Amino acid sequence: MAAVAPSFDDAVQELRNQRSSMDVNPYRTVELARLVLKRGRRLGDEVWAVLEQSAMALLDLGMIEEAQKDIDVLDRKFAGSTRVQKLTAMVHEAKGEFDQAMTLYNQLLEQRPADTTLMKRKIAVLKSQRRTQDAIAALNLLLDTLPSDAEAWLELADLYASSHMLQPAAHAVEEALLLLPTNHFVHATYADLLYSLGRRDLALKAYCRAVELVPGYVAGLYGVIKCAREVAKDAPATPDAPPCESYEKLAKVAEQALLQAYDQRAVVAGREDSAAVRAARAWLTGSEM
Amino acid sequence: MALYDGSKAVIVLDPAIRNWVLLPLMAIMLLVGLVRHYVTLLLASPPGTAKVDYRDTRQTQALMRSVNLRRHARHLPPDAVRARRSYFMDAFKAGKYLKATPKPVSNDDGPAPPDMAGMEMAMDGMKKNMAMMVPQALIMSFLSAFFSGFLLIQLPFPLTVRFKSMLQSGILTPDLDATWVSSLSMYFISFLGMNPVFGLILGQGNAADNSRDMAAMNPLAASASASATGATDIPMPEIPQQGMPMLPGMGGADKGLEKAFMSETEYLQLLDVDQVLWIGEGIEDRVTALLTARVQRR
Repeated sequence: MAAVAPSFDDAVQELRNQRSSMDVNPYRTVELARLVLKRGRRLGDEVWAVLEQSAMALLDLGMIEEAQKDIDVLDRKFAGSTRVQKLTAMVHEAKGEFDQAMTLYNQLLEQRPADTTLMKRKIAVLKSQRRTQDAIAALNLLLDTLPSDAEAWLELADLYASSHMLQPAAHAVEEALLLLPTNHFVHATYADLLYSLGRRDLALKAYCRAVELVPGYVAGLYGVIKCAREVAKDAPATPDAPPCESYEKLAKVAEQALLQAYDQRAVVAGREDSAAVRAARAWLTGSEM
Repeated sequence: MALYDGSKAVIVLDPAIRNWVLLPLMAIMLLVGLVRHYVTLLLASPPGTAKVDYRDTRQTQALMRSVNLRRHARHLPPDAVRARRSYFMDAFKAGKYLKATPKPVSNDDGPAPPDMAGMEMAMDGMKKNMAMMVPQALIMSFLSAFFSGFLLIQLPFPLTVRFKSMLQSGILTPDLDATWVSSLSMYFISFLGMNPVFGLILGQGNAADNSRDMAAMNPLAASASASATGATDIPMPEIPQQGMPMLPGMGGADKGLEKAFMSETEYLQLLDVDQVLWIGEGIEDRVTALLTARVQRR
């Protein structure tokens, strides 16, 4: 991590990038926003967008009073704006006042019926209230109209999985996969679900794909090793399935890759392995614990 | 200063041309652009309040979903692809995603009932186009009325004869140097080049940008640039574009979408899942080789 605080212009640019990408790092956002807002006048009209960004990040971190200060500034400038009221509703959510939040969202949706962020916030409220089935139903409705939202599909998969509905969860991840086919994380999520559904051969293929996309992906490598070891032990599924040796070979080389990664980290850290790393090494080298 | 310098006549322009034609022309173009920007801002309705019929979105999105399936089929296990393929084929044939249009009593193609959301979108588009087109037309007529047959400036760099038709649109002389520019041509060229100037004054994404006008006037160019960026490796059904001003009677769009669904169903039928080269095929060997190379490199 850089010890030097970024310059004003760099901070502004980084905030802009964060606004357009989906990357959420509230700590960084708050840090940058504080730096930038001290000299808010230099920003001109961009200061409002930064205030909104800062308010949302502060709410993410649970710093409600400070978020409220930012929202008050926005409210003075844009009185009665639906966008500012959305932030107020988010404050209700953060405070746990879910009924008020829900009422406010419904009001706002009447004024802005096409706003998907409002619909998603409603689903977030349902999720916070532990009304998982209602959240699933609402999300399904949203995805029926707008199936091109990969983030929403992944959220749906998460909701299904938490209700132990693994097959629909896998189906949802497949949709996300069609939208983001080169994303290693989505492949790994798919693989996790397939493994839980008992399809270890397919899970192995999905983990392999994650590793093929990002060869250093540690979670993917662990998945490959676990599945390859187990599939090697099972009887082959079909007569023309690859022989056990190829799976064992795959497992071996993946173990080596991971052990190398640990070795390199040890060199960088310059100290002895922690207990967790020792356990990982033991598992990897096959000395069963 | 000799007026006749050897082979060519030396042309000296009256400074009054500069004061009364060139500078006002530039000033007018700049101001019109600024006015256009602010008028567009005034006319635009706040985002999110446009009454978008969710059924329209749903239709197009369902179509895109099926196209996406065909495009990325190789990333899913074959069974998953097969399941989706049959689901979409059945759903499209049953018209599950189609907006339910009330069928007129007679069976022939009478004018469809006016579509409120569509009308609003068309009006919005037309308003924007009006804001763009009207000033252009006005300035053009103003120029040709007052400033025709003028030489305005001499360009500081040499040009070949071929540029004469472009730069001297009002003036027909056989041996005038191509570096002399007439007023109408000056207007056109400046018009094309004003974008960076507006970008400096109004910031990026301003409404005085005429690249969008160019796209509207020249759908061929727009589609060419669009397809250059998007993938055109798979056959796509014709989706009637929204956002262009369409005449009342937007039932035409619905018919277009019905046809699109039908052609998409055909494409789905043509998709032979067994022929799709699934990435999972032989992936274990590929990854073994990949990791072996990686381990050996370190």
